[in-house]
Amino acid sequence: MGVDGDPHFMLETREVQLDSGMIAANVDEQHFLASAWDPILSMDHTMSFNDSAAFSSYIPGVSDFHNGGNEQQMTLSLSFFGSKNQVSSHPCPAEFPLGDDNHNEKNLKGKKRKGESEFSASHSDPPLDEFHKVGSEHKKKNGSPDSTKSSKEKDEKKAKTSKHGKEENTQNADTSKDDYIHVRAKRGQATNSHSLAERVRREKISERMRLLQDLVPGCNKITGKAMMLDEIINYVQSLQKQVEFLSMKLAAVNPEMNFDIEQILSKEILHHPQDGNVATLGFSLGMNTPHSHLHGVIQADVGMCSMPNSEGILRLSTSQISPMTRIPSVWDHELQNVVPMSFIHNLPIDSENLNGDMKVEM
Amino acid sequence: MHFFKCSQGNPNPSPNPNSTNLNVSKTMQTSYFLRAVALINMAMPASSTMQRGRSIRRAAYASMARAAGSRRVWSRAVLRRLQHRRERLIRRPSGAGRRFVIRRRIRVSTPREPTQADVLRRLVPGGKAMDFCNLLEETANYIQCLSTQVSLMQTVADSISG
Repeated sequence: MGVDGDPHFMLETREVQLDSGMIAANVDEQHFLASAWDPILSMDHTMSFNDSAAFSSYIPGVSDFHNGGNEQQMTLSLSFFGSKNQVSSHPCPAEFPLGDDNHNEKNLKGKKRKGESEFSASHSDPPLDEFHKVGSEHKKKNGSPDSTKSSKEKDEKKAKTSKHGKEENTQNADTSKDDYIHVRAKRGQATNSHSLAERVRREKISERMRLLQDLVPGCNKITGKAMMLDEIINYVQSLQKQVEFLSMKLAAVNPEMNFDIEQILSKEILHHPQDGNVATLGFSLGMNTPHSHLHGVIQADVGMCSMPNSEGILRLSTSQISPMTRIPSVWDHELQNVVPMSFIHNLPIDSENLNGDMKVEM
Repeated sequence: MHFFKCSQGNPNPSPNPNSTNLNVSKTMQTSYFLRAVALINMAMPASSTMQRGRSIRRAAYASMARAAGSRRVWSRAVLRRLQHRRERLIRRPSGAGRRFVIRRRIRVSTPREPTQADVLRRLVPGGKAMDFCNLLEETANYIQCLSTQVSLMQTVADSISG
């Protein structure tokens, strides 16, 4: 490794599913098999740095890891190979240790899932390959797999200056196609693999707690996980009670009313004034042509499609809505879960256009 | 007669695609809920308010879960729960059959006091099978959808009684 001062920041793999809280040390070595350290310094891409300073993200592009069993390492190796194909000059490493035990597999699986979910695979390949190059040289330098990790950690502790920090960060984002999220031990913190994993996990949790803090009203001043959780629980409970209360209220009020769908919808929509897509949506209040025996109930104008605003919805006349006994709905099969059965049986259930529509948005 | 599909491809280019999606799902949620309530009123006008209220509550959760989609653990759990309820009712519409079906919950006593995470798991549907980190994420999404649903129901109630 001719580059002493360069950042060796593949020091830890971030375990996503911390069921066991263990991290395989071998994972690191697998990682470095395909990489070289040299060209890192020559990389000049700008990357976006993750918010957490403790992370360096290095996520190999995983084509798909939906293979079961022990193919995870296979795919890991394939991903490395795949990305390395771009660099013709660099020799690919022979193979990855494919015969690892389940422990590694489990960790790999956890990491891969995380990598897929968090990062898009839309990063350029060349920087990835350079990064890979860097790793393999480093690996070759060190020789034995067990010493790799510790030596890397030592190196990176040495190398952790602010200047190198920037470079690392730029590289990290570029290699975000990789599977692992590599965590750097901060200065003065334990570099034990367990504690690093713990720290990663804690970071994730605190990030989620911050999100929740924004969601739950009146939680700005509350610091501390326990109190936040109390607030969250209270809020969820209060929301659920509100749903309960409002549903009782609607039940009490409703029988005498034929409520105005259009009115409600316009209110609802005007509360959230957005672009004019609203009219095109969800209105299988319209009829299904093949089932013409269900005619005449609700007719929505075809002009609604091009209606830029909510006025189009208002074309649904109330009178047509009231005889709702014969609503042909793509949601009927779903509504059966909700509404008492006997009523649904009376409706000619339209089973053709079942999920074709609903799935679009979801 | 025209048949409308829920469509995201629209002729009008939206300036903010995220808001479009939000609006789409909110509209879907609204229409689904309203339809369900209308059906409930149509189907069981003579039932007690309690029963209708419970049906409306189920409708609320169903519309929430539908709007959230299958990507969320909690929405899948909600829909699964409704589905099972449905199947149970179909198989045993009468109460006579019930005596053969006693769901025995084998109680595994947890000696420790229920922690906050446990309470949260109980509150959020589908929360039992998630680790704490994902639980928090699901809770966030669940809170969002719940508040949407509450505001929707409030609007409905206001427009009816107002």
